[in-house]
Amino acid sequence: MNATNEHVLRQIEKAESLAALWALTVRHFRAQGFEAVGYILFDHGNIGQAVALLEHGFPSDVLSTYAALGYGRNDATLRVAMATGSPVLRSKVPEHYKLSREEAWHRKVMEGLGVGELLALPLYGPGGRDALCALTRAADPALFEQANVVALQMVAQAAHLKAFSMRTVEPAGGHGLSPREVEILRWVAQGKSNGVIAEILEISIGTVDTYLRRLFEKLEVADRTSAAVKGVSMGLIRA
Amino acid sequence: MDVILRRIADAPSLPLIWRHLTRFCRRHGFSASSYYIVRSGSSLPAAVPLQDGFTREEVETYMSFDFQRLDIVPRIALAAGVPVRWTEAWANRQLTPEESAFVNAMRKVSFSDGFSLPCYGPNGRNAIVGVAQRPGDPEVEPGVLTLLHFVAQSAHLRICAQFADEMLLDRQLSSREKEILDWVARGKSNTVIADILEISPGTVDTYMRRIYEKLDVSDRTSAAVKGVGLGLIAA
Repeated sequence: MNATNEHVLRQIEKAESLAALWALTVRHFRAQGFEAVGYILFDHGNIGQAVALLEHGFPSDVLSTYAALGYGRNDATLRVAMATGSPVLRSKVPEHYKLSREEAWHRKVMEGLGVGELLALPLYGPGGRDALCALTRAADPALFEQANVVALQMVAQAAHLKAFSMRTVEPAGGHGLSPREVEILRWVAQGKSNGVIAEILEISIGTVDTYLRRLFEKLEVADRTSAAVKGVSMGLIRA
Repeated sequence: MDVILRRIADAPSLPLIWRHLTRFCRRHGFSASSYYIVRSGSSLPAAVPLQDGFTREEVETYMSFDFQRLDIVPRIALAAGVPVRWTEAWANRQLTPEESAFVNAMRKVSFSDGFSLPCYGPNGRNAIVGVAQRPGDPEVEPGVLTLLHFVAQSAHLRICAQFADEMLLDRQLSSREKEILDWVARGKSNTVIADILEISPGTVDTYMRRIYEKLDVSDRTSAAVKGVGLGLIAA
């Protein structure tokens, strides 16, 4: 039984600042044999839209190119990891999943910069705040096959959740939508017409109409599809 | 921890994953545990809870209520990202009459306290693992709750992974389909999209039908929302 992972979970729990949390997580992954550690935080419920990037040990040309290509947009490794919830090795992706043209190109560009094997760990959090942790530049290439990848993922997941509990919590209702408006938006996102929503909620169509007009105004959109998409991206409803 | 995580990762079926998890909970002082996928705004199935070690009366009472709505603890735990103790959550919150009725009914049939452990997964597929302590269960050692939380989280992801692969393979959109879906998500009608892309409305229509089929939806709003959720397009 390896006590290291349990030990680092306790350290993560006790971390007092984001900087300390990041430092001890990096230290742990380096001790496990990975020279480079990356963390991409996505926008609410919107995978591919990066809002923050932390990294340690990546070459600067790799970072700037990755940024120029849109931080994970068309990164097939990231897509597969986030969609399956399982740790994914970069080298295994083309064997098991069909890549789009853009994804194949993205891969080639990154390989041209010397990006080799990489372990992608998908992380999930409250309100659709998901992230990806990437471990690469292993001291020993065999590590990618031998490591307990789920244990690595759970350490990263613990740090991801801890980072949330440290941030100031967004006040409930800070988006300005009432619970009823959110409820209606949820039905809109499921493709229900006003007539059907009225039936489900046992209110009149006119009332649904009024709610929707108010919703459009608050979300600054002009149609129901844009309202639903915006609701998802703001973390008000789930995709 | 490494041993249990490997066991869960290697378990080939839901019953085996569940058995590893419940045994681990029992060994660490929680003689009853439960698991269910949380009903969200999406079309995901609201799974029937799995349970181990609860009395029949407890299970029946819990299920006789709309527990996904009335049990506030799972929601609090999922919003906070940390394990939440049941009695503390109930005590610190103003309850609606319906919620109070639910809590009182549960108190009548159950002598246990416990924790709700929030577990997150792909596409907003979140779950709650409940672990209950009985009178006579050993004292919970410090650090054990964190350990249980992440073992539960790994079990949930393992369960998600069992149906995720299939979804990925089927739902790969072509770049043209993605482009069209992107315009749909911005609220453009088929005619406007046809204008923008300089193709006929009939062609847009054909693309739309194919997108619906791949995403398993029947209208444009659901298609856009699902496309965002699967990371195919940006919101």
